[in-house]
Amino acid sequence: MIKIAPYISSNNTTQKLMKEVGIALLPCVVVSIYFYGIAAIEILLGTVICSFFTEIFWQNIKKDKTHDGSGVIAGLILGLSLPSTTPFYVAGIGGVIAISSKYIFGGLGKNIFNPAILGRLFLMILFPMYLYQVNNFDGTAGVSLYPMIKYGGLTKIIGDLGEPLFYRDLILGNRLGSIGESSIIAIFLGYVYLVYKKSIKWESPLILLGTIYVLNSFVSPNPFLNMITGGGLFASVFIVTDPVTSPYTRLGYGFYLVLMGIFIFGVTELTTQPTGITMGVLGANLMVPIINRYTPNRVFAKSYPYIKLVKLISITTLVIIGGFYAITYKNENITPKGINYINLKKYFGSDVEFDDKITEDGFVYYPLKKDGLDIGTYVIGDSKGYGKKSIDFDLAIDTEHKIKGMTITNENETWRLGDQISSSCWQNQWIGRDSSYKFNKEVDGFLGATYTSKNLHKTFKKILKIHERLFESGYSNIDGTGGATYTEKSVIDEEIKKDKNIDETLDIDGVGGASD
Amino acid sequence: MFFKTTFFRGGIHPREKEITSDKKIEKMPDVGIYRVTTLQHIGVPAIVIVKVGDRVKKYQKIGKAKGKFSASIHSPCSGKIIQIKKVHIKCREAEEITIENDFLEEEFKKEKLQNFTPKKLQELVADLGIVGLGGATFPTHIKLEDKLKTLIINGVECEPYLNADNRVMVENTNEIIEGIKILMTTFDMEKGIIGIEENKAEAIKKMEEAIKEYSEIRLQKLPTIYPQGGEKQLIKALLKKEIKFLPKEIGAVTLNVGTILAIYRGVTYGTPIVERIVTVSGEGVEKPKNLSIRIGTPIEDVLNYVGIKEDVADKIIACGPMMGHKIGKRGATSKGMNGILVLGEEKFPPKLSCIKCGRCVDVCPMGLLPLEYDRLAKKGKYQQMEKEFSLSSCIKCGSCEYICPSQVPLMEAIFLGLEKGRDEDD
Repeated sequence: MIKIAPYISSNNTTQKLMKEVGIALLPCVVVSIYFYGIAAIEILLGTVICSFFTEIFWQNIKKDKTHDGSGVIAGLILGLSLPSTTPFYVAGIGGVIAISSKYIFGGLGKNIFNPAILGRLFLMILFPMYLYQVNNFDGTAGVSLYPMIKYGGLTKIIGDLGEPLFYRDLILGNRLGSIGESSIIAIFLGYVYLVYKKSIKWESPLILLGTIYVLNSFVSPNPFLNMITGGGLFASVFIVTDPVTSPYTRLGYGFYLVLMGIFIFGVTELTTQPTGITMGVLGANLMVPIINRYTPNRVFAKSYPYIKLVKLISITTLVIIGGFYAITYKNENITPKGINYINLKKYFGSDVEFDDKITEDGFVYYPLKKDGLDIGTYVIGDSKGYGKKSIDFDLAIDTEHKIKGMTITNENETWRLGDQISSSCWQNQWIGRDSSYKFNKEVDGFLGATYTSKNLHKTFKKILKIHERLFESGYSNIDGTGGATYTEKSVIDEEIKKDKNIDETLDIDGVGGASD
Repeated sequence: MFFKTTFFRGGIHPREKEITSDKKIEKMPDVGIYRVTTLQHIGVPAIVIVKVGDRVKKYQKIGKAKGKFSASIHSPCSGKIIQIKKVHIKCREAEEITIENDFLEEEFKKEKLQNFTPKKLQELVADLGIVGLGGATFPTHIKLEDKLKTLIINGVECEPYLNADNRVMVENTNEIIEGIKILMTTFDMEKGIIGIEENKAEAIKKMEEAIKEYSEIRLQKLPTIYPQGGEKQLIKALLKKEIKFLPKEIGAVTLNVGTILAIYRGVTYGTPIVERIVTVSGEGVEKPKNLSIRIGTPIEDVLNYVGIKEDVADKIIACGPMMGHKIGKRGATSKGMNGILVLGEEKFPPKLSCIKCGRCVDVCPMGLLPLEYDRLAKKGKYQQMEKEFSLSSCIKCGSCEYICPSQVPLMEAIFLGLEKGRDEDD
């Protein structure tokens, strides 16, 4: 067929665009190798090589031999968004999944989701123990600094380093985070290069980070750090600028970024996810066809179809409200906070007699008798988990205020990390401990999930202290209203406060383990 | 819109390649055979009014306009008609008149117009077969109506390679100004605006000097951007108004500088269009030139005159590289052909699938979504192109395909959509 006009073409090619992104990623690669050394090289080689061969594999299947280089770039971006603790084979699996996801949709240009981010999502599901390592407080590894700020307290981190040093590390990249996303200066170099080459739209990081900043300023004392410490910066330059999965009109693109900012903020604030970048990007990707449909440009000599914008805004509002409802929905009926008789039998045997229950500080105490003698107390309580969902447990305390037995009845902790509290092995460790027990990270914590166990320990400690106060003068004096006078109670409270001060890092939100 | 540029949205900056911008207009020597077609304009083909064997004189009318949407055809030389045959031009049936030149240059004298009225001038323009010489070949007499307020003179010439208008403005400045004056006084127009792109510095200088004494004519320098020479884009740039179909809507008329020159010559000397300035350029041409060529000159003769580097039978392009079309060596020059290009070995990158980068959307001067046309054309949903994405607004400037990093054949999709969409409606 004879080619019709135009007979000249710009020297833009897809390969060239990909090459430009590759060059822009170089500073990040260099920084990652500088800080993480061999680990970074292993991860990057793992993702890039696997992506490359997966691409070739799929191209052979699809009989399409045009190399655009997008596979290698997707692999590189995926590698840079993984934490340094990821083994190379995990990174490689991520690369395979990322590229396959692209070809399952029909190849470059037809994929709905950003391949790198989809690969990362799969890794988060398959290998949470590597991808969720957030709480190594000594600062050697972790997926992001952001969760530390979210859960660990900013003052502690800055206090350790001193403010100037903290910000210097932040800019240079000497901090927790995925290997590529930590250095602000490297990302900025890439951004400048891409904008200079007109490869990306210059406004993308400004809109995305601006949205995150504005939303965080409502809830956070330091919204700037919330904006800068997660993967948001890296995503805003290299991930959201992926042409395939973003809208094509400028208005649509702006709308997409704002929506993504809202998603990221929502996921970060409302779910157990440490940072919401992955979910936020994928959620916004899902909205792209709708955004494209409703944000056309104004056609020459025609008026702008404002009705389409109204429709788009209504649809997205519904999506946001629906998502908010789905995330925050709690079915209270699933776990009735009653006596678990199986556990009770396990702790105290059968034929126990109940006294009146005492409710103190959100915990329910059931003093128990057997054959007229005090045998201990059965306590039902809950503790704050890693995310928003609480951990329900019951506890048996003997007459000497020591733990007689403990069972986690309901928890929603991260699979293979925080949820190790459910193991009877761990639970049995607590038998015999009293309120003076000091938390031992090596014994009681899990690699990658110290927060959960630490928090539980705090809650147990509080229960034991209250138990000591309630049953100080023996069980016989119990009249069912709680034996403590006001003054006594305040003394105990102060003691608890003191205890908090000793271990500042543990104090997340000042509430401790009490349920609201 | 939301992101306004100084004149209109979108547009591209094709590589300039102004090989011929300083080359003076040369007159091409006469050739023995001329092939004149009856469809050199938008509209209905003219009716042939001569027979094989007739002798014709130069400037003699050989094709009569059929109805209003048509233009007359005149003989470029004196000689004998040796053949009239049916040909297909742009998928439409027309006739080709072959004239053998006898080199006698016998001229068919016409009466000069003495006192102009709008009506008389319009009739004269129609009689002389003047069409828009910028490339669109819209019959000029349809544009010239009463109640015109603004005359817009199009000296933009935004297509790369082409310099026909540029050279006309440099070398025939006074004639153009005279032409503008005639038009403005006849139609009692309030103002005239000349739009020239900044890259034609010499033309701007000459025109500025020439219009000094006329307060009602104004010259507007415009940034160099394609497709500013389009009628809608030029009016938007100069008057900040958007027209739906024709400039009549706002009481304006847009005329190419070449057209104005033709009107001036027609009015003063009574000569119809039998000659035009053509840029012969491109990497495949040995001596790129701006030539004054008689209409109907076979392409082969033109190329032989300038010299071509290699066998380029399939690389000859009529008009500009952005909106032109391929033409064989056997073809002949026509009224709208402002350039003959022989492009060098242009390596087109491999065709890939659309990556939805939105560059075509950014450059579309009409605010359309070209990538959607490609998607729908692949699915065969041609009617949807018009219904949802207002395909009929497309000016076919080719900017989208030029900028596309994946070499998606967007223009093909657009032409298919226009054609098939129309068919399905019937």
